[in-house]
Amino acid sequence: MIPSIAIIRLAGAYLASHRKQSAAILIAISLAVSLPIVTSNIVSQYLRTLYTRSGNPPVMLSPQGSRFDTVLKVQYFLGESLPPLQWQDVTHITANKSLRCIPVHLLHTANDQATPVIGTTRDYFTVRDLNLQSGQLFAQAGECVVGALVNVSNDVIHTDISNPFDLSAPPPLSLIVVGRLQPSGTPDDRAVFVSLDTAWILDGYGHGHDMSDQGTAAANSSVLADATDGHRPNKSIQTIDETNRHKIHFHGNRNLYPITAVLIWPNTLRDQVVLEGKYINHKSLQVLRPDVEINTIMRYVFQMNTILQRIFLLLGAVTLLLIAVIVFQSLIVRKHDLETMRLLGCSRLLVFKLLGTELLLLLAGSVLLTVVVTATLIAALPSLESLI
Amino acid sequence: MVFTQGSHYNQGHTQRANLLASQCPKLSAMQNTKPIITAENLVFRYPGSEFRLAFPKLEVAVGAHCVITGPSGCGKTTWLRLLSGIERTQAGEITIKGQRLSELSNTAMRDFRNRECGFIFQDFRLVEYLSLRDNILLGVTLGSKRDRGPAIARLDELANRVGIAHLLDRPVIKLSRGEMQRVAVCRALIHNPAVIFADEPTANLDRKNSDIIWDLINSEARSNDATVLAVTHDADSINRFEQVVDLDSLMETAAS
Repeated sequence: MIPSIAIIRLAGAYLASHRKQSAAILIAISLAVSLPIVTSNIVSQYLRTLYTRSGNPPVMLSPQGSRFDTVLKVQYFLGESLPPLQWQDVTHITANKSLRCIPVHLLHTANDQATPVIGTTRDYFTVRDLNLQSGQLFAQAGECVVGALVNVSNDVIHTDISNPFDLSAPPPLSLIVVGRLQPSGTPDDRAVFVSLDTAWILDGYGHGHDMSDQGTAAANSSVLADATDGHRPNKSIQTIDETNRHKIHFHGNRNLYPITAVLIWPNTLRDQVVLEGKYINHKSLQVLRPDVEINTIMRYVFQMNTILQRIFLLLGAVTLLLIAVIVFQSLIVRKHDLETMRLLGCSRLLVFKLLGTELLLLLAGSVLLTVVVTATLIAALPSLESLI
Repeated sequence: MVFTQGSHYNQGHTQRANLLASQCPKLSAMQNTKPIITAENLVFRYPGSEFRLAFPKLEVAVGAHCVITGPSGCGKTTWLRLLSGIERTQAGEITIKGQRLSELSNTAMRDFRNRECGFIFQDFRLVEYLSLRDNILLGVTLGSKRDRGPAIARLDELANRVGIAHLLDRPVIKLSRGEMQRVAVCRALIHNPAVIFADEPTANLDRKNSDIIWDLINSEARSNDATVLAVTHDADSINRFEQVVDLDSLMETAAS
C-alpha cells in the first residue's frame, strides 16, 4: 500500500526532528552496503585487467627471477624495473623460425611516471591486435605511438628523468607523437610505444653530437672541452627530429643492449614444449607461461575477495542488528506517542504504515547515499593494479 | 443526567443542577432529550488489582456538560476511559450515540472513538516533534477511512478562535503550557466529535488560566454541539458544569 502524502510528511517530520540518529543510520547502512560493492568492483576490475592478456602470449623469455613480477611488468606494465636480458638472447631465440618473437623493453616512464614507455617493434601492434585511431606507427628514433588514454599536449610526450642525482644519466626526451591507438581495454591504453632504438637512446646507448655545442663547451672551458675522443653528448637535444636525427649514433656492443623480455608465440604446442625444455635448466634465463602465473595470483585474489566479502557480510549483519536495536529502542522511547495515537483512535494499520514509511524513507535515503558513496569511492580510490 | 436506584448522588449537586436547569432553558430542554451516553451496571477491575469500579446506571443528555469529580485515586480517569471505550468493562453495557460499545471489535472501537470522541488529556499528550498543525490533525490523518478535507478546512478558523493561528507551523516543543492546552482543545474539536472527554485538563494550572481553559472547552463544545464529559478534582471548576457526578460516593455505594 502506498502511504499518503500526509503520512509521508509525518514520517519525514520524525526523521527531521531526529537528524543525528537518522544520519547515523543512513551512514551505517550506506557504508555497510557500499563497502562490499566497492571492494568487489575493485577486485573484479583487477581480475578483468588480468584476464585481458593472461594467455597472450603463451610464453615469454626473461632473466631468472620472480616469475610473477616479470609477468606483471611485461604484460601489465606494473611494478618495479626488472634486470634485463641481452639483445643477443633475443637474436638467438628469434633465429628459431617456429617462434614469433617480439622483444619489449620497459625501463622508462613519461608524464611524471604516470605512463610507461615501451620499447618494442612494430609487430607488437599486430600480435596485440592494436589498431591506430589516428596517425601512423613510429618509423624513426624519437617518434612514439600513444595508447588511447594517454594525455598528450602539443603532440609531444616528455619522458621522465631516469635519475635526478646522476649528472651523467642520459637526459629525458620529448617524444614526437605520430599516432594514437584505438581503445583496447588493456594496459596498452595507458602506454607510450617507441622503437627499440629510441628506448636505447633513453638508456643512454645512443646520442647525438653538435659541433657548435662542442665549440661553446671549449670556449667556456667546460669539463667537456678537454675531452679527446670527440664525444660530447649534446644534452641540449631534447627532441629528435629531421634537424638532428642524423647526428644520433650508438656506442658499445649492440648484442649486449638490454631488453626486458621477449614475448613468444610458438607456431604449435610442440614448439612451445620444445622451447620450455630448452630453457628449463638455463642458468640466467627462464621461459614462463603468463597464464599459469596469472591463475596463481587470481586464486589468491579470489580467496582474498571471498574473505573480504565474508567479513563485510558479518559487518552487514552486525549493522542490521544494531539498526534493529536502534529501531526497537526508538519504539520504546516513542511509546508515549504511540499510546497517544491509540487513545485518539488512530488506525493500527495506519500507525504501522507511519512507522513503515519512516523506515522506507530511511532506506530510500540510504540507497541514495549508497549510490553517491559507491560512485565516489570507485572514482576516488586507486585501482588495485596501481597499488602493486 | 439520571441516577437510578443504587447510585448515590450528592444532594447539593442535584440542587445546583436543578437550579442551573431552571435558569437555563437549553439545559431544561436537554434533560428531556434522548441520552447520548448510557452506562448500565458497569463493573471494572484492573487485572491483579484490588481496585474495583461498579456503577449501576448513568445517562448523559445530548449537549450536556457533565463533570466527574472525586478525590485522587478514586478512579475518575478509569471511569472516563471506560466511557470512551479505551478500556473494556468486565460487565455492564455502555452505549454512545446509540452504539453499544460491547458489540464493537477492538478495531471498530478505535474507529468509533476516532470518529465520535474528542480527547483532552491531563498531560496534553501532544507529539513533540510535530508542528501544531500536524498535532491537531493527527487523529484525522491516522484515522481509518477518514476524509481530512473538512478538518483541514476547519483548522484555520478553529485555531483562530482559540488564538493559536499564528503558531500553526511551529513545533509543539516551543510552546508555553497554555498554548499547548489550546492545541489539545483544538485537536479534540477538529473532527467535530459528538462527545468530548476531558481528563483534568486544568491540573497544575493557576486559577486564571484554569478558568480560561474551561471557558474555552465549554464555549467551543457548545459552538460544536458537543457533549462534554470532564474529570476534575478542582472544586472551583465543578461550578462551571451543569451536571456533577461525585464518584467517591458512587464507589462507596458500589463497595457496600
